[in-house]
Amino acid sequence: MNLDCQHVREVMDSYLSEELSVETNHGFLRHVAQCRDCTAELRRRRRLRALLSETLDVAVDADRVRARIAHAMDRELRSWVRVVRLGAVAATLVAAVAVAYWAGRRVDAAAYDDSAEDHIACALTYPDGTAYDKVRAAQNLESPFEHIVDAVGLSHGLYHVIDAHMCPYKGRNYAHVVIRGDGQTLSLFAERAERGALPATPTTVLAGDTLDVHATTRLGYRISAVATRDHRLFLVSERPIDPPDLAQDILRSAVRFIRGLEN
Amino acid sequence: MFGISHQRREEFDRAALVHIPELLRVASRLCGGADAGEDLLQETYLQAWRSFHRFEAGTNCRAWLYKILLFTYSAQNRKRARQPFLVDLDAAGETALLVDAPTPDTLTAEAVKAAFDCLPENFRTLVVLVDVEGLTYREAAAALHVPVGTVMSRLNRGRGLLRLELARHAPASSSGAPSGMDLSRQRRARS
Repeated sequence: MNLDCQHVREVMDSYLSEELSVETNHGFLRHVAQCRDCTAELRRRRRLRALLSETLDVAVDADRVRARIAHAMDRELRSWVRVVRLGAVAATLVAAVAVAYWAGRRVDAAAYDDSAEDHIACALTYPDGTAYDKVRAAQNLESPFEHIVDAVGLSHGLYHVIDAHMCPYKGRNYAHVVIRGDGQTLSLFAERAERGALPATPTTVLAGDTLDVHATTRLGYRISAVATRDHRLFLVSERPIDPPDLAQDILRSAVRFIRGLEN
Repeated sequence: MFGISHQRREEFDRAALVHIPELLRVASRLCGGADAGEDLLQETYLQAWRSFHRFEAGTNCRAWLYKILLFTYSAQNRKRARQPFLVDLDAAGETALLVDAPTPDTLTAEAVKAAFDCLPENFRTLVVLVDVEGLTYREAAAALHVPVGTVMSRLNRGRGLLRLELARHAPASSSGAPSGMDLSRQRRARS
């Protein structure tokens, strides 16, 4: 390839940067070998590059800068570790709150069964003609349930309290009020709510006081249950109580007493 | 997490920190001083460290670092000067003049420095990368994220402009450049 001076000047810097194709490179060198002006220009441009490097040379201390960068990276890494640790603490707290919330909402699946079983094992064993003995009841009840019979009332229509006592059953400690009348025996149990929430959704009953009553049938017995802040109450009967308001009255009286204990 | 970070850190040290001397030189040259260069390099390495998970092991870490360095440099300059300095080289037929501009016979370090300082930033960057640091056109294009043709075109203009500015700064007797080539004055007159 034959190059003229104009072309050689145009590609001269690319030659210095070793960016020319082999063919152009040969043409370039052939021209420069014969052209004094272009040889001189090539020398000047080489000198310019050398001077440029020299002029722009800045005294640098790479080791010091390396240490400075490493230090900045360590600082950044530490700050990230701090963020991660804080995040872990926050996550743990959230998990703890969630567990506490879940634990607080755990369900006492045996609540209804146990009340029905204790009714059979205890209330149904009272002989006919048993009458309420205030002294016996006072001896057998424990704090804070000593006055539960006074609160519930000794008589509700055809139904009368025949006994009251603390009734341990399967690890529970019921305050058990036994009521008899109209050819059946009722049990009113009160206990601290230590085993979780009552199963199933309650039905709200509005009659004077608002009661959320869980009504169910276990072992052939009807159970009406109410949960207060710290306690649960169960009213167990062999058949529906007639009139139904009577059952609500008994429960409502007991709930009022329990809520009084909680306040 | 901490163990993983340590492992990453070792990989980063091995792949990236070895380029500090070269990149520090480039950063200092671009910024015109060691202090500003060190700041630029530190920011570059912190940026690289934060993005290291995106770096593919086995690829060219030096080119990747160049890219980050130039991006950071460019971002810093954008912050400093909201109005970019644009040179309309096609106006007034300057392009033709640049190609022909001869290099003055007598070159001094002061004249070279003064001429270099007159170059617009994007030309100055390429002159440093290619003519001083010896990057290939392809490497410079990758670092600046522009086509190779753009690199060649900017380099032509930057080198030509440098020679013209040299002619202005060089002693009158040694300058082979055409008279009246004071580009700075011409630009000022146009603006």
